[in-house]
Amino acid sequence: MTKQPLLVCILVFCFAIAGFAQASRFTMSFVPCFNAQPLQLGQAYLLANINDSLTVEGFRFYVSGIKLLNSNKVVYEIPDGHYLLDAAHPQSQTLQLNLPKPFIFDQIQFHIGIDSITNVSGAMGGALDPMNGMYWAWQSGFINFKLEGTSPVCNSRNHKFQYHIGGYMPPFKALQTVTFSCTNDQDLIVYIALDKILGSIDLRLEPEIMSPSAKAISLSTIIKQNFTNNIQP
Amino acid sequence: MKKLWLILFGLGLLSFTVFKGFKLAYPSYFPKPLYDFKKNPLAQQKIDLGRVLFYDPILSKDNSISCASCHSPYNAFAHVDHDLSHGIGDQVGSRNAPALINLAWQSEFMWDGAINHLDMQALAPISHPKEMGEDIANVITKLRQIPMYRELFFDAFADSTITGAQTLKALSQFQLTFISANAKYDSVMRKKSVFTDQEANGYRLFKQHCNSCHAEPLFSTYEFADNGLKIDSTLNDLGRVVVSHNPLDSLKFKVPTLRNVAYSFPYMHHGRFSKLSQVVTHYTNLTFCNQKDKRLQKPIVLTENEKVDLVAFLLTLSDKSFVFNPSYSYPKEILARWRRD
Ligand code: HEC
Ligand code: HEC
Repeated sequence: MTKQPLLVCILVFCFAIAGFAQASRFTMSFVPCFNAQPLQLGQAYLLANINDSLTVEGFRFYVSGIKLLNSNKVVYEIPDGHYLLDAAHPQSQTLQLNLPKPFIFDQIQFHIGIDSITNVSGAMGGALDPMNGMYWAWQSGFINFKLEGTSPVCNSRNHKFQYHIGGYMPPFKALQTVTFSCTNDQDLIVYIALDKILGSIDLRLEPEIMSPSAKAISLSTIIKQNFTNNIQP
Repeated sequence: MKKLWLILFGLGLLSFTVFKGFKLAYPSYFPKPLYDFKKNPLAQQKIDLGRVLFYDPILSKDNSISCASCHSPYNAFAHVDHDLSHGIGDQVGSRNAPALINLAWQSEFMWDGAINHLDMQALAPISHPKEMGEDIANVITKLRQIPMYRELFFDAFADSTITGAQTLKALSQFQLTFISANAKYDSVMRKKSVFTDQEANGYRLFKQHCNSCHAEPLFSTYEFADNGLKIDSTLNDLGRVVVSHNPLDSLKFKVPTLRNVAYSFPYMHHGRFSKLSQVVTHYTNLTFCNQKDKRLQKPIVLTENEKVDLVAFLLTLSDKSFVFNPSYSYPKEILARWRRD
């Protein structure tokens, strides 16, 4: 009870400070795509390399460690910025970044996943809360990238495919970092070519990758390559 | 402006007094704890909440198994008389439930160190199909429906939303209070008591043969080591290698603490031995050729009397005030506040 008035005071105080400083904003949007069209969960798509259909039922991943760079030098790093993007909640795929002042930058860099220090830091709330289902219970660690669905070609239970990609400990570190050119006056849009990512896997033989492993690492590199700022079929 | 600061300061003080702080007491001869208390500062209300959760079978799928089902305070939080743990639907797991003692001094949990932080440990039994068979998101949904938990979480976190992170932190808080430092060994260290001749001889033998792995004062280095146990072919548990992927770690398990070892039988990761005398015989029977660990490469030769002395020393690690500590027991006084007849 006694905490609430304090909170109100702090908020009022923060707004006051925010009013004085010249805050600024930058928007990053992520658009998961299939065959160059925005992904629709639950829709059947034709995947060329298996010559059969597949349906994506869930797609979630973390973005963290966002840095603004100018001439290859970091000018600002978003503090404590861990974002869980979920195709089932389209609003989660647009990140509104609040900057303490307008920066000049020509590149933006971020991790796909969660860094190793955060991985060993115990229980955290918000996007990092383990109840979000992005944490491995039996062997500690965040799942950086989770892509699930079904395809008749999968020889698994209910024809499911499940790719839970993560791992923060050597030799299987799956964290990937990507960099995009951009400008401070234009929002950044990042497309994720899920057809290319799934097309790189043999869904018949490998319907599941669900632990830190060499396969998870190689898929994480393919995932990284398919985060792009222009999309082609 | 000055007034505003005064008001802010006053409110700050008030909000701190709401949480009864809790200071962990441990002896001066203990090292510094490894747990980062800054990220989860102890408070009596959070410890109380953790205690209620620890004893509540609501954490399991069919509401039948609580943490305490496998970790009983009267056995130093080990699983009484079970070589392998026993979970929901009478399913038998593949490892022995270890005693939970001085957890703040460990950074890797489980026999193979698969868990990297005490906060995250509870997720493993909660979701293990042979332990509690639940899912943390579902546990939270169940907890949110119970008025008692809404109040307990509000008391602890000034927020009655109930999240996974809060649940895990509260469970950690209760378990962080499991400090055992009041055995006869400790009173000897504090110069309040002396060993008998037999115990003193056992202590000497212990320091000679065992202390390199079961190091004082925690009675473990918490390293992963191979103590020469033969693999159980019904379980084929390879231990640490599965986590580290380093072939040299094959058949290594975390060195367990020997504090309260008289209460935490059966012994070893698969509960092979039920008596301490059997454990001592395991070490004296080791043949040096099949032993990988340098510290066990010289044969341990003990007379029958020396074996008895060594066990007598191990019994000085029994801490009655730990196993019978009322603040670790079933939280009936907390639950009584919500009981309506
Ligand atoms: C079905 C029995 C069972 C239940 C229920 C259970 N545990 Fe355990 N616990 C075990 C076993 C077995 C291990 C060792 C597992 C391993 O090494 O893989 C263990 C290990 C642990 C450890 C690690 C100790 C160490 O020294 O590494 C902690 C802490 C712990 N349990 C706490 C809990 C908590 C908290 C709960 C309730 C949320 C719980 N346990 C529920 C059986 C159980
Ligand atoms: C090389 C390191 C090492 C040395 C030296 C060593 N141990 Fe151990 N000890 C271990 C490991 C590792 C385990 C757990 C093994 C397992 O479960 O597979 C263990 C387990 C035990 C246990 C079982 C505890 C429990 O709670 O299950 C006892 C008791 C024990 N040791 C006593 C001794 C005694 C007594 C000596 C000296 C004669 C000794 N140890 C020497 C590494 C060592």
